[in-house]
Amino acid sequence: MLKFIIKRFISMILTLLVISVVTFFLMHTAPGNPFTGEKALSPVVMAALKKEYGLDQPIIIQYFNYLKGILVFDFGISFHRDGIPVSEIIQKTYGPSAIIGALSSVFILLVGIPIGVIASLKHNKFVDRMSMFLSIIGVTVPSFVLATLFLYYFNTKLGWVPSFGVGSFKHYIGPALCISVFSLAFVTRLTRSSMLEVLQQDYIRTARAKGLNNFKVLFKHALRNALIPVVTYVGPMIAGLLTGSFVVERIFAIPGLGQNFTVSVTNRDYTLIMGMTMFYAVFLVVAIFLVDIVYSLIDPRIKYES
Amino acid sequence: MKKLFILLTFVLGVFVLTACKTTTTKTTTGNTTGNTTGTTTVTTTAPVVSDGYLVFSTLSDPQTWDPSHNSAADGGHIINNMFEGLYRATATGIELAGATSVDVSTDLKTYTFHLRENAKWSNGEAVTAGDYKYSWLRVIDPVKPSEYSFIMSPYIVGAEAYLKGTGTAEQVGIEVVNDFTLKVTLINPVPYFTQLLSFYTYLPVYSADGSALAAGWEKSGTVVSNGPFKFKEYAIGSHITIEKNDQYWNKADVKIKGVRFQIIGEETTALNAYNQGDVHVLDYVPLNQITELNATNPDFEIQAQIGTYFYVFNMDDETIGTPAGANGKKIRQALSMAIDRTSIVENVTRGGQIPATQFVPDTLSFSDGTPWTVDYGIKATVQKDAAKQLLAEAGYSTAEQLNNLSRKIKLGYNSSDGNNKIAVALQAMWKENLGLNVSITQEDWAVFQDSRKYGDYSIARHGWLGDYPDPNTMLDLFTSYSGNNDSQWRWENGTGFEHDTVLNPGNKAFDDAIEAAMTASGAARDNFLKEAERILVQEEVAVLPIYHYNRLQLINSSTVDGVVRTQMGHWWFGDAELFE
Repeated sequence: MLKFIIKRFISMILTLLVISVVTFFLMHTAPGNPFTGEKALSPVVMAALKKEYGLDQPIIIQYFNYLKGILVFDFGISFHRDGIPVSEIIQKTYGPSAIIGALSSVFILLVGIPIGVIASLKHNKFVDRMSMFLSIIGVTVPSFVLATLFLYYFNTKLGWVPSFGVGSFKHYIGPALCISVFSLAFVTRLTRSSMLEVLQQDYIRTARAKGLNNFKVLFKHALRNALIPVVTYVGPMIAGLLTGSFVVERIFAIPGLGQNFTVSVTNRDYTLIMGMTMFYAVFLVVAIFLVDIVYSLIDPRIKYES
Repeated sequence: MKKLFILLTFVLGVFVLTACKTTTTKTTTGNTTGNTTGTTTVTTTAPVVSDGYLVFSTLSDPQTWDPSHNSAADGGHIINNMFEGLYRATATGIELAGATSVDVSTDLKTYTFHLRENAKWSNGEAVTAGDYKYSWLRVIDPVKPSEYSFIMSPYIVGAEAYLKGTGTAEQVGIEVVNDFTLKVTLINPVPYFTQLLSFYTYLPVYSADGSALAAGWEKSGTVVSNGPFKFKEYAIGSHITIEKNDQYWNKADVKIKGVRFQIIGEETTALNAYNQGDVHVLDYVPLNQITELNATNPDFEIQAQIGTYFYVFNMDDETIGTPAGANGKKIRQALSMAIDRTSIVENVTRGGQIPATQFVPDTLSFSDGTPWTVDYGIKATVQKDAAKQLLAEAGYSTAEQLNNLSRKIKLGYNSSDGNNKIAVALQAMWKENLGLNVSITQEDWAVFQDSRKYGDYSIARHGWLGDYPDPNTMLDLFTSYSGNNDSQWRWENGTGFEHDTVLNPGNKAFDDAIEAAMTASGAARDNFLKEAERILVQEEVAVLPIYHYNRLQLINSSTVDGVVRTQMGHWWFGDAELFE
């Protein structure tokens, strides 16, 4: 196991390195630069700005300077928020996104998996049909529609939740629900189909023939195996949820991380683009790594010793 | 049905369970992400109540609110309330603020300002002439110049040379006579110089400790300011709060505790927050709400703004530019005559804009105060027959000829909902009125800027908002040496414009008129500026004016009073009052 972890750790570092190279060079090849504003800058001002931010140097040198910075956790200063280090932007906007992401992850797992199981047990019955119908709606209706509707009914009409921002638990209900719906529907469908497949297997029949009670068959034998594809999906899903959503954060005016992804690209805020990409990449590779570990816990056949 | 009931109960049960779980999740998040995140969460999550603070909604985090380096309106609103210059902008013009009087020499080139002796920085020290000199030199600093240095360097003696590194700071015409007397020497008389002094670039910063003014100083707790409010807190992505400055010379008139600039990026959310009473002042609303707000909300106001939405023709284009000679001009005229500007503002933009039949908006005025209204023969409605006639004269009348022309015209614009609708409308009007099938291309802003700058188009979307209330703020855009002259209309290509090798002699007369206006005054100056505009829109047809910008505002009159918007559009909360 230790050997496996070390091997995976090295490949994680390599992955991150490749991501950083690709992002860095793609970003610099994109037309435009961080200083294209409404008004054109005089050549004198443009040259001074480029010099200040080190953009006057060859791109290779710029990349190595950036890497050097990363080693001491210096992600540079944002081009579009004077004097604010990228690490500070990420640090300060991470909180609200993480709370919303954690809430919705818990919600998705606690609701999606049970409904999926129930639907598979009541295959082709009303409950099954109903939950599959709802999950199709969940997958197809975009989150900005849900968010707008949520605000309209629960704030404008009923006044149950605040109009925007973060603060109390009430502030988080809307964003967490809206960000959950797509994955909730997906997890439900995945659990259901996976359970249906597992329940057909010979070993389930064997278990029943041995006279095990229904509970043990379902939860010890069936669900455990059925969860493998779900775990595969859930790992990256949690990484995605924890790093925020642009649309939902924008509509609920959440000072979160999600907005930075899109805004940094349109602004050509090079340092912030890199910071955000690397931050998300770390989450993602760690999540995938954890998924692999969880596999071995769920499925005794998967061993990483060899 | 019973099963459905069981299912619903189950879902509800799980939801309650999640709700209980959240408290634990919340604490864990705080702990696992370390102390910093923990404390930040506390500051950024202050409940949204105004508690004596006026709440103003803004679209995004401002890049800066350092007066010398700001270049955007959102930073400008904060600066206008935290800092104070020699003059302060009002709803109709300007008034003396940091200065109590001014002596102007008879040649109108030397200004001697007598500063207000009781004006203090928020740390209690006096605001001196040295602070002004320090701050202005900071704008034109050759090592780290301001993006807005162009609003200072062309006017003050020696400023351009210092900015370009060919002169020294001592040669710049800003002289500290004594602590409370500042003498400024200009190259030429500038009729709008005092207007410029109320603009944020000319506002002073505290100079005692220059090293403290590193990038981002204005966002820290150490920032010192001299306006009615001082910095209190900045929570990234959430809000900027400023509070009453007890050292302000006119603090008796400041009635509110402070202002909270609340960041709400989504128009619908901001409008909803305003309707719920969580925001007091709002200056952006969803476009589709304008008609309804205008009809139902007496607090909703649309005001004309100093700015124009227009398209530029590529004057170097082989088909429609000056290389095509008289035919090129006829095509440009035909394209301009074939559009219905009234229909665009009534059916497309629908924000109460005024169709533009000139380039300078009539919110600006002649030296005698009358509105800038001149007839250059541009009509707000379509002149279909005349347009077709011109196109035929240029050699395009048969279907085949028109198809050929269509293929050669490329219209570009930067992606946005509004720009897209207007481009599609133009395309439809040219098709209907001229039989042309012009192709339109949209690009991301950063990409489009380069395409437009280097002339990779035949017709490109452009827009301009004035910086000071004088026609020059609009017209000097098209001088041969202007970095924003994206029509490629230049009679000579100086430094920075090496790409523009096709020269347009017609631009020389425009440059001359602008230059003549610089040394003239009164009616003579008006005439030079008018001549420049005539060359631009009528003789050379380098631009296609569409409409003049306007601005929207919602001020909740039942909770707030005394909020002022300056002529150039900046908000002033120094006289505001809240009643709740």
